[in-house]
Amino acid sequence: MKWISLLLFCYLMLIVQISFVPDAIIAGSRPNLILLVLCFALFWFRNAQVFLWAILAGLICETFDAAIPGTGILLLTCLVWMAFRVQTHFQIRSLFSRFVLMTVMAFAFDSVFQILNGLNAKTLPDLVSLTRHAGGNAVYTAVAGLGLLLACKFIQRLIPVDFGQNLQNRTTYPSRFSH
Amino acid sequence: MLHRLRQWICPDLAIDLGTANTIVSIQGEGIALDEPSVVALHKGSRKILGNGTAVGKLAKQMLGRTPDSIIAVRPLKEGVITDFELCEAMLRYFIHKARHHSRGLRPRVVIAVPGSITPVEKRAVFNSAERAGAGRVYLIDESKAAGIGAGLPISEPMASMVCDIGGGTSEVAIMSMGDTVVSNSVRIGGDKCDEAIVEYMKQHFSMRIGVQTAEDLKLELGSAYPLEQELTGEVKGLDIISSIPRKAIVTSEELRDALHGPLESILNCCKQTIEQCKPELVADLADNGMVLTGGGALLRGIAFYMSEQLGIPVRVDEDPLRTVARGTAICLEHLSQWRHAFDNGDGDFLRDGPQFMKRETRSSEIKLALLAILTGICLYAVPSACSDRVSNLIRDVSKPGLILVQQFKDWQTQTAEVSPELSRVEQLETRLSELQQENRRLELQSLQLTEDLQYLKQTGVPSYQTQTGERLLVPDLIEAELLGQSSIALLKEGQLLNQGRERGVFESSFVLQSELPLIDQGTRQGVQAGFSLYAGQTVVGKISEVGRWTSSLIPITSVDYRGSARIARKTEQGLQLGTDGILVGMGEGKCQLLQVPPTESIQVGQDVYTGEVDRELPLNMQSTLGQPMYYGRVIEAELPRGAPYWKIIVQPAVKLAEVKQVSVLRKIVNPRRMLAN
Repeated sequence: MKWISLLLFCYLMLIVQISFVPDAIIAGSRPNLILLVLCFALFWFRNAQVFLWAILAGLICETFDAAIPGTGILLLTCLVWMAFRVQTHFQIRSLFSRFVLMTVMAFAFDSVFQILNGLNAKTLPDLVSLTRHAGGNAVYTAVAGLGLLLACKFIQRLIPVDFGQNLQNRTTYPSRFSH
Repeated sequence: MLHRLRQWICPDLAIDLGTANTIVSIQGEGIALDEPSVVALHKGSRKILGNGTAVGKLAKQMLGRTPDSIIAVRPLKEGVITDFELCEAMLRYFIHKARHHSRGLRPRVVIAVPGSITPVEKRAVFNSAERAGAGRVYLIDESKAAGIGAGLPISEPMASMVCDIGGGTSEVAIMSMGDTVVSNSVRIGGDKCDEAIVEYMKQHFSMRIGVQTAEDLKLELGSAYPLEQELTGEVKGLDIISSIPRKAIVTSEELRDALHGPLESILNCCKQTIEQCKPELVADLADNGMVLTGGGALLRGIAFYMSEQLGIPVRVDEDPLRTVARGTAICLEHLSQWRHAFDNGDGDFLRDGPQFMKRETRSSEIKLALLAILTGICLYAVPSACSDRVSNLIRDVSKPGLILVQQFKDWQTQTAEVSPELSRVEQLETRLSELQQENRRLELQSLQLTEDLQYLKQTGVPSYQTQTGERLLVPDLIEAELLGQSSIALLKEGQLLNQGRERGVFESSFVLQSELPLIDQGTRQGVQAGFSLYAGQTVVGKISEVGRWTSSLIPITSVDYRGSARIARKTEQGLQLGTDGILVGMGEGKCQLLQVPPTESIQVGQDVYTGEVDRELPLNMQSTLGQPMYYGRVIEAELPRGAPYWKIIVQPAVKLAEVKQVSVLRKIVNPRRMLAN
């Protein structure tokens, strides 16, 4: 169920990225929604399946960014591996820490991916402008991701059914105590 | 380093989850909380009183004094969780109270539990702690934690014996070389002693007293061994026969009699443990003896009692109530060293060991990561035709959705009404301006493509680059309005400057008047000093200083202007460009072309274009344009006798005063490279 939901989400994000994001540029920055899908896979699965999503996200990025084949997958796999270890080690679950993780991932991916794919000017000002651009994109991506996470939480509260529960062998129940 | 960072961001916790008291220690800070394991709640709704704050000391005060609608309970009994929800709520409260700052992360938690609890009971502790806000949870045997906390040499190859008498259970363990050799546990502790006192009072004094009173009596008069001077005390309770409150005098001898049963059970547990031990270790015990920890160790004369009965030296730890908490905190400080001694919850306690499951998880992670990396390498290595197929597949899959969106957009455009407020003239002007801008962009794109084509013809490229083609940095033109006198006056009236901190302007800086013309574009639009300005195909100047919203420019006729330029001669083969010289402004609407060697043939009326590479431009802009741009026409040319260079005067093609709008050439990151095509 999670796989299909995320696959649909990925398709939706791809369409939005291609069709609507060019009209939603703020201060020259645009979000990378495909990377958001990968981040969501990391947050939702919390296991090694996220590497399969890295392959898919990498393929999409390469296809629609006219990049050298393989670079997207390799880069995303490395990034997501680091993020996976950080998530496991720090037990990242709060919105703030996820926001930071998304920002760092988006920044690293945007800048390194562009450098890998033929940075034809090797001067410092070019790198500075590229970094600035990648920074803007990363913040925009993370803000969009945070918005989506909040929306997910809000919608989950509205729906009376808990999709995460194990119907066959119920081992968890919601707490009635809040502090 | 990662561990240090983690410790700084989110310190780990050690919890002694006892039946009577819960003690929480923070890594690097020590004991942060020591409260009774009691929770007070409404009977009907099962909500904790005081918005979840009636936990610990506050709840213990209510114990036995509550009305029917409220109950004060202990979520643990005999060392195990009896009420899962309440234990979770209590742990959550304690964790939140102990941690002053969370910084959004969940701490790792080491919890001390009785060694005798079953896997199901262990799982209950795991789940409670995780749901209460803990990250990774580790469990450690109380007896082992007590040994570490008491400072016993448990890592040495000699026997160390510890007896932890807690509220619900008593743990006895003999340890050697860092692990437990024999351990036994009985579900008898301080609570059972209290119950024994209650029962004794009922049978011998016909008096009913509460558990809390029994505990007070135990603390006041309780002993395990005859005292030098026996104690007496007064107890108040309910007479069973007359059903009225009354007082009674109780002696420490009577209480010793009452406590005999539970103490006998604990003693038997110790004897049983020693019996199961190997002879070599028993010999060590005769020298090293046993250490008593836990609340039960505070009973008067218990060390003498145990020593007499067991025949080995027995001592009570200095701070027996906190020995287990101290040991748990020490384990937390040296987590990597003691990790092998913990249950970490990765495994299924009923089938496989935790270590096995952990290895399997890590192995699948490595396998899948390698698969992804191999996929990437394969895509890079295979011929472009194969990787193209994958790309085409993804494009085809996305096509239906894109078509749908396109249709939706078309439908929206058709239904949108043209704004009636704009007059026909304004509409046409706007449209014309847009088309002119588009035209300029296309010109630039055409130049770019020509340059790329030439480069490809000259050098040749690897196969994968033939399919990429998109440059990362591309030239871009932005329209800028030249600010007239009225606009500048407005700026001056407003006491505004077009500079900021980025250019080193701070409070109290001197303000000098600048006579340079201004344009309405600045750093916000990505303008930088040195960028060229054009009116159509003609150079009009370059940016001098950049403010946030405006920038000043140097016209080509200004004495401050420097630019690379060359003269074009019309020949039968077409326009032929000469050697690069330097164009400098002379003021008074004219320029001078310097450093043109006498070998060049110069005539009045010849055109002057920009040089092949303009060294005066910023580095990243030098190769932006593939086509020379127009400066103006030669109006005077003279080669004085013996002079090393021509003296050439140039009349600019465009006067700045006649221009209202200019284009600024800048370099931007190719928007097509950001998943936008």
